[in-house]
Amino acid sequence: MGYVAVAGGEEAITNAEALVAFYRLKGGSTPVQVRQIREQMRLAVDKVMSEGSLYAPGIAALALKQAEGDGIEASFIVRAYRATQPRRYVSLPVDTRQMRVIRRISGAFQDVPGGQVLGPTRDYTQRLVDFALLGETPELAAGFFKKIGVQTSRSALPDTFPKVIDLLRREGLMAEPGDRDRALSDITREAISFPCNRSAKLQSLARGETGVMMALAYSSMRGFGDIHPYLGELRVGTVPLFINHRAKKHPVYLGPVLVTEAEIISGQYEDDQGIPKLTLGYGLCFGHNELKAIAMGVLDRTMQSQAPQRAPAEDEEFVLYHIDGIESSGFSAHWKLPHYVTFQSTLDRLRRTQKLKEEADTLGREPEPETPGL
Amino acid sequence: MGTNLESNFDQVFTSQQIYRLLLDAMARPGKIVTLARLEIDPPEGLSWSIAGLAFTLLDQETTFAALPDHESWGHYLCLNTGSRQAAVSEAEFIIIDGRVDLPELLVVNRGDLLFPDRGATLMVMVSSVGGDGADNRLTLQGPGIPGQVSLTLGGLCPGNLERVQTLNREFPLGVDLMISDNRGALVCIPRSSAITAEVNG
Amino acid sequence: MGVNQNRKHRGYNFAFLDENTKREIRRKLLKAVAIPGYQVPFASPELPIARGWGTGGLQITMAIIGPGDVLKVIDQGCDGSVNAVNIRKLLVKTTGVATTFDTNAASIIQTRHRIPEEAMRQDQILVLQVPIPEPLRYVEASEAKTREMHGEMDYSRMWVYLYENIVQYGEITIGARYPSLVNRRYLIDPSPIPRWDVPKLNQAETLYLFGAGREKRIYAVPPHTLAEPLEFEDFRFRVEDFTGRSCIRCGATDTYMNEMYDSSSGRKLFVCSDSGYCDRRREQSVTQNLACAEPTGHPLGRVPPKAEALVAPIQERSRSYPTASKEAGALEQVVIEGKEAR
Repeated sequence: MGYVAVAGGEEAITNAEALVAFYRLKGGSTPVQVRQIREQMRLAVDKVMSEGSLYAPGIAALALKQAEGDGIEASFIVRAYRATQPRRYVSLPVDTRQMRVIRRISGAFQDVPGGQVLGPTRDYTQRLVDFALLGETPELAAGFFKKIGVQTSRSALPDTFPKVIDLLRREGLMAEPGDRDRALSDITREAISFPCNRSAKLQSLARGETGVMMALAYSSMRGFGDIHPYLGELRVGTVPLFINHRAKKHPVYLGPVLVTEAEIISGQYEDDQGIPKLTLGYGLCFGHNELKAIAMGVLDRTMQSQAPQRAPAEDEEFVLYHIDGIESSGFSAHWKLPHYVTFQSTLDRLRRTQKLKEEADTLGREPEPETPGL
Repeated sequence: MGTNLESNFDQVFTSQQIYRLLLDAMARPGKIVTLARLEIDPPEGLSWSIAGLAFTLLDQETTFAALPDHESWGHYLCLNTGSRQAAVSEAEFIIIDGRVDLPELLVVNRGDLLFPDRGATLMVMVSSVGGDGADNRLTLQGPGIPGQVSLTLGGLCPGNLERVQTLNREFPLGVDLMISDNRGALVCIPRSSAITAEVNG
Repeated sequence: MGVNQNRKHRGYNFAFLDENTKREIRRKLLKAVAIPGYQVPFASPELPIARGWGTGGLQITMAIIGPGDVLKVIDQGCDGSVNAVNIRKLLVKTTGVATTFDTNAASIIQTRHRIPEEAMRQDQILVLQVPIPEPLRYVEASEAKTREMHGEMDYSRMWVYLYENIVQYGEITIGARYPSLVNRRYLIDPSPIPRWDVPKLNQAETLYLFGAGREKRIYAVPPHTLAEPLEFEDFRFRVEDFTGRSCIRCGATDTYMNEMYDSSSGRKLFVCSDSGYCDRRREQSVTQNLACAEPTGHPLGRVPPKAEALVAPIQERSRSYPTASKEAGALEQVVIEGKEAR
């Protein structure tokens, strides 16, 4: 009897775990240190924190190591860990005007107050394989630091930058958020329902999977929808996090959090008074992840669409139910589980309908069921 | 008395035991289950069994109201569960002394057709659940009940029962009852049960 | 995965979930029972098991289970299936409860895709894992719209769907996940149990709890409650047909069976899907020679097993299940923390 899929479940699982570890290490090189991942795979760590919905670079780096670099798997590990953590405090609202930026650009204006700050970006480098990295050594890295040391100067950057959209707002060009936008929910404590308030939407987007958000946002930019986005401002930098503590008079400073923020400005829309205004789509995510922040801003804007015929990216249910990487990966993978009971049921129906068809054909006519009584 | 933080209630295991009895009772309306005596010290008028139910289900994510409004009950339950007090029309849980005539009951939230589960849960104190000397004899019919079941309750104000019947007239809208006496006898009447009342004397 | 095997390390709570999460599930379960068949939304935090792999059922089990429970976990009816083993391991590690493969001995059974063959009692609870809780997904993709349809009890599009099925194929083609009306009010997806199991929901002794983790919904069919598969007067609901089939292991002819192909002969074989029931029948037939297990009788009144079927050649399926006692023994090294993480 060859069918053994149901046999020896426990042993098989234990062996599978051992094999996973074996494949991770079988090359024989020095085991990767979590600190190396955290520092040198910075953008992967940031993505895992954002999709795992927990700001914990060490845990995210460890999860990446454990998952052999599989971003969704690492995010899942982080997310599951997050679900077990007690939630003692809620942070005070963060004003991103206070951000200490490492990068800040606007696509909508040639120059903006505070100036464009290119910061660390690959946008204008040629994507050539850098063979020089093959021979990278600690000495070479130290030499690099000596060279770059003279070029960076903290004092050259102001502490904070004014916001581009504040300028537009002052001119009365921006639509103000409505009252429904002010309701606060917590999607980790209450399942989302529709129509969905903006805070639940933004929370879902903030923990969404970068790839699928980019694809949905791209569909809208490309033509499935009527959104013509401008990048009002993109910022990367740290914001200070505070909490109120019972025993303390003043808010307590917890530390800095690195975030990416995108403000997407999009075309005309009439506000409550019928005055044409610009609208804002907002994107904010943990870590340095520009594509995700931009996609989030675009999707926040597309979901505000009033169009009677909604494109996929404009349908809030379509977007919010399908962007979570943990949920979509889990369900996509679950087809690996045995389904033979349900398949048996499907076969039963198929054989029955085939038989009915054959019988009907022998009688030389199509099956004509009597009208079923409702 | 009754204003203290209770340290004798095991959040993990006692609440699990109470919950399983509660689930059984809710799944089988009219079935009387008995809660094990709790060593807690609720304020005057609030029974230990109702306090035990509250400890099991209430926390900082829920709201409650007490009827009639007893300041000491509110304080005690806030302190021990983290739950917040809300208006009777909005609270998710209503802690009730069923022996007092309570016209306010009629404003309790029954949920809506999209979210009937938002209808409130009533935790009702009575003099006795089951037993012969009771002054209320009810017949229940509906899911969880093979045929029909009789239930006797002592000390439930008839007006309150009528109000519950009014609240539960339009299933799936309605409220769900957990009724308990001071000996720990507990019975549940979900909104899916049709109640026929027969008041003695 | 470090599920609290070391006391020095910060442990997980009893039954893994923190008490806040349990309380929310408990509150929602009570509402689900009070409004039979209605899908109650719940927060459904992530578990260390993937979405779509039983997290809804797991959360319900974790919210109701206590140290005195006896747990059975099955997948496709089988206790030894890898997924069942994995889920059982997590529950045992974090609760220390006793486990069993015997339906009669269990107080809580968590299952995927099957309801055990043996009739369950009122002191037992069946927890079903649900992938898609919404029966109306067949006809409507939007959650906002299906919620409205349930609110208004507007199931006309489902009826039309079944009608069109009959017009096209001469028969309703839904295999598992057969839509059923609970308490004459709410249409449910009974989870992907075969049609064979659907009648067991109706007027049962047992409480059935359904958990959909990824979709964040909980619903229930209380005992002694009407649960009726949709059918037309002239096109009746029908369970799967196993006429003339018998299990190669225990000879049963009145159970839901899996068909498979023998790898050497290519011959098609049938075997009981409920492994616990099948094992028990085999044990009994060995000890009592020809006697077979007390036929519990399918709710639709199928024929009891025939004695001669038992003398048919019985082939051993390669199984090496972990035994219940072995698992319980392993628990002694596991720390069960009974305090809420604060």
